Amino acid sequence: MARKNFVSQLRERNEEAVAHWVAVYQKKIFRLAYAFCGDREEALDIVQETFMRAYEKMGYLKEETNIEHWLYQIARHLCIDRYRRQKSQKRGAGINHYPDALTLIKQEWPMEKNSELRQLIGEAMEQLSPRQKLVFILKQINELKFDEIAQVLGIAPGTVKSLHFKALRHLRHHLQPLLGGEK
Amino acid sequence: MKGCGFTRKNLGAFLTDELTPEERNKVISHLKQCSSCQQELTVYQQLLQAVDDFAAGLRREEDFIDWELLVQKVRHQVRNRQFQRERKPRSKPFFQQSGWRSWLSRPLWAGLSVGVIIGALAMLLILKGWLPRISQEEVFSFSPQMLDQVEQHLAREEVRDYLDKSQLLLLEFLQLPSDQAQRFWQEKMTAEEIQELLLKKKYLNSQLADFRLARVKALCDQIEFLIYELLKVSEGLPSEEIIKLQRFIQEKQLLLKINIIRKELDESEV
Repeated sequence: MARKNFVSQLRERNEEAVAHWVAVYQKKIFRLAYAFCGDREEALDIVQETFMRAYEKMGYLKEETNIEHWLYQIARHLCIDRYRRQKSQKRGAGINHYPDALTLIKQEWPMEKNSELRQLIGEAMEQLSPRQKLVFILKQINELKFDEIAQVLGIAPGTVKSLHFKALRHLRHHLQPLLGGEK
Repeated sequence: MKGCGFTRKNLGAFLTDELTPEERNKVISHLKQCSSCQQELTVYQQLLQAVDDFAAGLRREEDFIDWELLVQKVRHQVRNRQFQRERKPRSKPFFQQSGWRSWLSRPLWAGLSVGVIIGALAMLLILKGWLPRISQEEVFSFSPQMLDQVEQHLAREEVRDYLDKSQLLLLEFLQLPSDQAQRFWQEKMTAEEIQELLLKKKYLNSQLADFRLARVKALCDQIEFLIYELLKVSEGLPSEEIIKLQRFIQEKQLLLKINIIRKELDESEV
C-alpha cells in the first residue's frame, strides 16, 4: 500500500516524494555510471540526467513498475550514448580512467599484489564490449541477479549468464600474468 | 577430463551463486576430482576478489560526494521544469491563436501568406491586362530583313549548284565531235541529271525575279535555252546545226560567264 502511495505521489510529481526517490537511488545509479565511464564528474552528470529523464516520463509510471530497474534502464542508455560519443571523439587516444578511485585506493591501502590487480581491472574493463561491461557492472558492483539484469537490459537470462562469463574470461585473460593458472 | 567444459563455463555463476542446486552439485562433484578446474576456480576467486576490492574503492568515492547537494540540484531542476511547464501554455494551432501578430511570429506561416498574397496580386494584374503579356509569336519571330537574307543565301546556293552542273554538261558537249553528239544527248535525256537541272531552273525563276539578280537570271535563261536546244539534238538535228550550237556556246563565252558569275556569287557581290 505504501509503495502504491509512493508511486502515485511520484506520478503527481510530489516534491517530497521526488526528493526521497532521488536520495534512495542516486548512489546505485552513480555506481553503475562511475564503473562504466570511469569519471566521477561525468558519472554525476549521468545521475542527474537519469533523474531528469525519469521525471519527464514520471506521468507514465505504472504501479507494477520496478523503479530501480526503470532507472537502471535510463542510466544504461545514457552510459552507452556517452560511450559512443567518447569512442568517436577519443578514438585511438589512451585515456586514463578511474583516476579518482585509484588515488583513493593508493592513499588508503599500501601497494600490494591485489592493489595492482584493482588498478588493472579498471583498464581491463575498458576492453569489454558495452553489453558485457553493463552486465558485469550490474552483477559485480550493483549486485543484481541475472534475472534482474535480464529485465533491465531486456535480454534473456541465458544471454546475461553468457555475457557475464565472457566478461570474466576476458578479464582473466587480460590479467593472466598477475593471476597465474592455465590459459 | 569429462565435465571440465561445463564446470569452467559455470565458474562465474558458481562463484556468484547463480546456479540451480543440480548445476551446483554437478560443479562441486567435478571440482572434487579435477585439480585443473580447482586451480581455475582459485584464479576466478582471486579475480572476483579483486573486482570486489575495485567496487569497494568506487563505494568509498561515494563518501566524497555531497549527496544532499545532488538531491537539491535535481529538486531545483525539477522545480524549474515544472515552472516552465506551467508558464508555457500549450501552443494552439495557428488558426486558434488570436491576433495577426501570432501569425507573423511564425516564419513559415508568415512566408506562406506573403507568397499567396503576391501570387494573387500578380494573377490579378495579368488578368486585368495591366501587365504586358508576352505572346509566343513574338518570342519566335524574325525580322523581314533577316528572312530576306536567308532566302537570298539559299537562292545563291541553288544558283551556284545549277551553274556547276550546267558547266560540266556544256563542257562535255563541246568536247564531243558532232557525229557522237546525238548519241550523247540520247543517253543524257533519259538521265535524271537533265530533268533535275530543268526543274531547278523553274524554281530559280521565282527566286531570281524576287531578288533582282538580273545578270544571273539572264545567264540561267541562256543556259536553259541551250539545254532545250540540245535536247532537240537527240531528236535528230543535222550535224551542221550541232556545230552551230557548239559555236554559239563558244561565241557567247558561256563557260567564261558561268565562271565569272560563280566567282561573284562566292564573293556575295551579286
